[in-house]
Amino acid sequence: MINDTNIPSTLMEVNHLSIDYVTPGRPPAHAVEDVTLTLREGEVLGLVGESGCGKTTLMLSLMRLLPAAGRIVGGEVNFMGTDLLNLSETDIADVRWKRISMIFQGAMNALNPVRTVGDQISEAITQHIPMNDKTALDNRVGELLDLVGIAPHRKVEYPHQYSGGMRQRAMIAMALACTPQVVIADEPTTALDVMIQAQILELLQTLQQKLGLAIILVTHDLGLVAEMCDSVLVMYGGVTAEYSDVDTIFNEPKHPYTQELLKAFPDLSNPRETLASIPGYPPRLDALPPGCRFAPRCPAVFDRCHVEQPDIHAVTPTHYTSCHLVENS
Amino acid sequence: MSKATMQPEPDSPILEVTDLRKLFPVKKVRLFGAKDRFVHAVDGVSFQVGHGEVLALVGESGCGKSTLALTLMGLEKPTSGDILFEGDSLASQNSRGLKTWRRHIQMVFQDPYESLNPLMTIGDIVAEPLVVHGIAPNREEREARVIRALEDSGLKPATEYLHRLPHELSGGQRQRVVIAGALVLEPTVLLADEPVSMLDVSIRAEILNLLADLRQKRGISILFITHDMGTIAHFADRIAVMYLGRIVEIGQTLEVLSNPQHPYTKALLSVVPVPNPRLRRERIILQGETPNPIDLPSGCRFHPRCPVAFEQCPVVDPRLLSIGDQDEIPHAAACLLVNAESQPVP
Amino acid sequence: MADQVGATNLRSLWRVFRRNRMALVGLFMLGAMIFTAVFAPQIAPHDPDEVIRISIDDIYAKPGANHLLGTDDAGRDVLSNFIYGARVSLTVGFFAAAISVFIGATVGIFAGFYGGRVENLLMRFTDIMLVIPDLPLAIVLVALTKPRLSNIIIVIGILGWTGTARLIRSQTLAVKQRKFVLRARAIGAGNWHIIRRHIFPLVLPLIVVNTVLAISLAILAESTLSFIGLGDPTTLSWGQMLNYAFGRGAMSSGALWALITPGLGIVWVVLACTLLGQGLEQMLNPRTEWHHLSVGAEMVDREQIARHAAMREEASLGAAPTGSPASG
Ligand SMILES: Nc1ncnc2c1ncn2[C@@H]1O[C@H](COP(=O)(O)OP(=O)(O)OP(=O)(O)O)[C@@H](O)[C@H]1O
Ligand SMILES: Nc1ncnc2c1ncn2[C@@H]1O[C@H](COP(=O)(O)OP(=O)(O)OP(=O)(O)O)[C@@H](O)[C@H]1O
Ligand SMILES: [Mg+2]
Ligand SMILES: [Mg+2]
Repeated sequence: MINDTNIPSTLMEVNHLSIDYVTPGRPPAHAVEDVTLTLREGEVLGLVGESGCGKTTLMLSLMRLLPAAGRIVGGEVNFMGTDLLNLSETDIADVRWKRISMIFQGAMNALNPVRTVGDQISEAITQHIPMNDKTALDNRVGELLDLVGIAPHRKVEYPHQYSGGMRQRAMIAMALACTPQVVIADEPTTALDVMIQAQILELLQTLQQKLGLAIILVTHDLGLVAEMCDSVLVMYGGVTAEYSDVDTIFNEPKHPYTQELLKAFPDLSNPRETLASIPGYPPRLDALPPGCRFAPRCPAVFDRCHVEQPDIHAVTPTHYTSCHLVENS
Repeated sequence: MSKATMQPEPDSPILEVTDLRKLFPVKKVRLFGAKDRFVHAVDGVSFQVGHGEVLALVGESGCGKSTLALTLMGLEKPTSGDILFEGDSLASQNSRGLKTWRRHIQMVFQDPYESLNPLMTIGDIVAEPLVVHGIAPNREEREARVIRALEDSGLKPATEYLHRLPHELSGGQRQRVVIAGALVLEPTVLLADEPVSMLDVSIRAEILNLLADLRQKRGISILFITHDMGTIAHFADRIAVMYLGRIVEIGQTLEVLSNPQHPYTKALLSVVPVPNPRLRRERIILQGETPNPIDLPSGCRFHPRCPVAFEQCPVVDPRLLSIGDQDEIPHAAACLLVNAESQPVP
Repeated sequence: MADQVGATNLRSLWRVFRRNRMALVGLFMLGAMIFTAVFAPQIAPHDPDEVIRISIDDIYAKPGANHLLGTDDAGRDVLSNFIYGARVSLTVGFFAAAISVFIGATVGIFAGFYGGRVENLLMRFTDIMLVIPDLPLAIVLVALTKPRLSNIIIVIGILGWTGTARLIRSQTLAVKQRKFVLRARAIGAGNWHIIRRHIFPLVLPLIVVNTVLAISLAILAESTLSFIGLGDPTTLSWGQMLNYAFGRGAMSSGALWALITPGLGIVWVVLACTLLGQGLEQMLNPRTEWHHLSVGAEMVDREQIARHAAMREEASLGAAPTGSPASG
C-alpha cells in the first residue's frame, strides 16, 4: 500500500459508542456512553481509567463480544470502512482473531485446565486458518511460544504447571497466532515482571513497525503508557474524560481527573511517605448523577457541574476533553 | 553468628523460613534409567518476616514467588526445609493446627478471575472464611463484617456488590473481592500475591494505605509479592529479589533501590517505565535464554544472562552474604563480584 | 469450560434454554408423557383393572370407536394399557436413574476429589463393573430375586452407574484444579466443606444431564427385561405389553397395534430424554470459542442505536469531534 501523503490510513473509527448492562429487574447500567476514537495503522492507543470505568466493556464491544448481559445501544464501529455492528454473525467471526485479536484481561484463566497449552494454541490457529501439515503447525506453536519467552518444549505441559506470568504469555502468543491487524491488549502485562513486560512490549513494537500492527493498550501503568503509546484515551465512569496525544496528556492535561490520576502515580525516583489517592468513589452506573460523572470527586467543581453533563470539547484539533472548565476558558 | 554470614534480619521474627525447597517432578518417559527431573520452583530460600514488617518479594515471572507463598500456607508440601510461625513449625501441624495456621496467615491469590467461585455471590464469598471458622455466627454481625471488609478494600458502597456474581464485576473489582476475603479474618500475617496488579493508581494507593494502617494499628506483617517497583518504594520495609528459586538480594528498600548490588536487580530497576513521555529511554533488556527451572545453570544461576559475568561465575555458586562492614544498613546479595570471599560450594 | 455458564442464575438459564430448540422439544415430549402418566385415570378411556367379560371378538379387536387403538390378547383396551404403562415405565426410569446417578456421582466425586488410594480403589471397581456385561448380570440378578418392580428398579439402578461415575470423576478433576478450590483451602475449609460448596455445585449441571440420559437407559433396560419375561407380572409396563403381544400371537393375527403402541411409547421417551439431555449438554457446555462471552446478534440493540443516532442528529449543531490526536 502506497500512501503519498504519508499519513497512515485509518483502520478503525469508533463513533459515539454506548453500551449498557441489562439485568432483569434492575435499571440498565450505562457502562460505556458516547465514546469516540480513531485508530490508525501502526498506532498505539493507550486506554486508562479507574478500575470499573468500562475499559474492558469498550474493548470487547470492538470485537462484538460481550458478557451475556451486555447490549450495544448506540454508535458504530467502523473497521476499514464497514460497520462491524451491521455484519452478519459469520462475517464478524471472520474478523475476530484474524483481523482483530484480543489479549483478554486476566487472560491466564482463559486456558482450559485439562488440555496442554500447545494444544490450545494450535487450536487457536487451526480454527481460523486451515492447516493440515502437522509438523508445520507444531513448528508454528513452538515459534509463538519462543516469541513470548517460553521454552518450546514446555508446550506439552498443562496450564497449572505454568506460573501466572507464563500463562499470560501463552495467551499473548495465542492472540498473535493469526497475525492480526489490530491487537487489543487488556492489561496484558499485569502478572509479568518488568523485564518480561519490556520484552513483550518490545515484541509488540517490532510487530507494529514491521507489519503496521495497531495496538490498543489498556493499562493502569502510566509509565507504560508514556513509553509505548502515541495517543491516550482517559475514561471516567464510562465516558471520555480526555483524549489526545501522549505528550499533551502527560504535560498539559485539562481534565481534573487526568490531573488527579497523574498526581496519584507513585514516582520511583521520589518516594514519599503516603501515596495519594482520589477521595470518594465512582458513580453507580445504574443511577448516574444528572451532571458530570466526576463532579462528586472533582477538586475544581462548580455549580454547573452538578446539573449539566459536559459535552466533549475540542481544546485543539487533536485534544478533546469533557469538562465545563475547558468550555468556559 | 559471624558478621559475614549474617543476613539482615528483624529482631523478633513472626515468620521464619529456613532452607525451604519445593521441587515439582516432571513427568517424562524414562529411558535407560534416566534420572527423575524436577522443576526447581523454590530452591533453598531462607528469610524472616518481623512483627509488623512489610517484606516485598520481587523477581522474574516463574521464579517461584507464588509457590513460596503457597508453601507458607501449607497448600504445597515443602520438599525440604521448614517454616516457623511464632515458633511453631508447619511440619508438625495436624489438620486442626493447620486450620488455625490458616486463620492467622491469610493469602491474597494472584489471579482474581480464577480464585472466585463463579456460582457464589460476592457476599457469600467474603463471608465464607467466617463461616468456616465459626466466627460471628450471628447473621447481622457477619454481614457487618463482610461489608466492612468490602468497603475497606475499596468497593463502596458495599451493599451494591453483595448480591452480584463474580462475572458481573470488572477485573479490578474482583481483585478487591479477593483482598476483602483475606482481610475479613483479620489475619496476623498476610501473604499478598500481586494484590493490586489490576487496580488503578488511586485505588491502589487507597489499599496500600489501608494495609499500612493495619500494620500501624494491629501490627500485621505482610509478605508483598509484586512486580511494581513504584509500589515497593513507598510501601515496603525490606525487599527480597528472587531469581530462579533463590533469593539473590535482600535488604532495606531504599538501600536496595538506590544502591542495587546484584546485576539482576540492577537490570530490573533499569527497565521500570517512567511516567513521562519526554523521558523515553532505551530499555536495557537482558540477553540470553529464558531460564529453565528444570536444567539449572551451573555455578551462579544468573551467569548465562549476566552482563558482567566472569570466568568464576559458571563454577562457583555464590551464597547470600551481607555487603560491606557496617551493620547500619543491612543488605545482602549473592554475587561473586560483591562477595569475593565466597567459596565454591562442595 | 463447562462451569462458566453456571455463573448465570436460574432465570437466565431459562432464557438460554428457551433458545435451544432441541432441549425445548425434548422437554415438551417428556412433559407430555409425564402428564399422561400422572393423569392416567382421567385420560384413559378404560380402567385396566375393570372386570370384563370378553367374547372371542374382543381379542385383538381392530381399532374402532370403543377401542381407539384396538385391544390386546386379553381383550383389554391397548390405549388404556399404554397410558397406565407409562406410569410403570416412567417410575422405573426415574427411580432407577436416581439410584444409578446417585451412586455414580458419589463414586465420581469422591474418586476425583480424594485421588490416590481412594481413587484407585473406586475406579478399579468401576472398571470391573464396566467390563461385566450388564444385561446378562441383570437377568441373573432379577431371576435370583423375585421379579418385583422394586427389585427391577434396584437392579437397573446398581448396574447403570459406571458411565456416570467416570464422567463425574473427570469433571471433578477439572474443577479441583481451579484456583478457587485452593483459595477455599487457604481460608481453612475442610474437605467436606469444599465438596459441598465448591465441587458439587459445579458438577451439578453434568449430573442433571446424566440423570436425563440415565432415565432413558433405565426405561430401555426395564423394557428389555420385561420383554424377555423377567418383568413384574403384577404390573403392566410397555415392555410387558410387548412381551404379551409377541408371546401371544399378535404378529400372526396381524394385530400390529398391540406391538407398535408400546414400542412407540419407548421410542418417544428415549427420544425425549436424548433430545433434552443433549440440548442441556450443549447449553451447559457451549463449544464456542468464546465461552463466557456471548456472540449472538441480540447484543446489538438496533432500535436504541437508531434512536440515539436520531437524537444526535437533532442536537448536532456543531460537528462531532472525529479527528485523531495521533495525526497531529
Ligand atoms: N455482567 C454485568 N452486569 C452488570 N454490570 C456489569 C457486568 N459486567 C461488568 N459490569 C459493570 O460494568 C462496569 C465496567 O466494567 P469493565 O469490566 O468494563 O471495567 P474496566 O474498566 O475494565 O475495569 P478494570 O480496570 O477493573 O478491569 C463495572 O462497574 C462493572 O461492575
Ligand atoms: N503444580 C506445578 N507443577 C509443576 N510445575 C509447577 C507447578 N506450579 C508451579 N510450577 C513451576 O514452578 C515455577 C515457579 O512457579 P510460580 O507460580 O511460583 O512462579 P511465580 O514466581 O509466581 O511467577 P509469576 O510472577 O509469573 O506468577 C514455574 O516454572 C512453574 O512452571
Ligand atoms: Mg477490565
Ligand atoms: Mg505467581
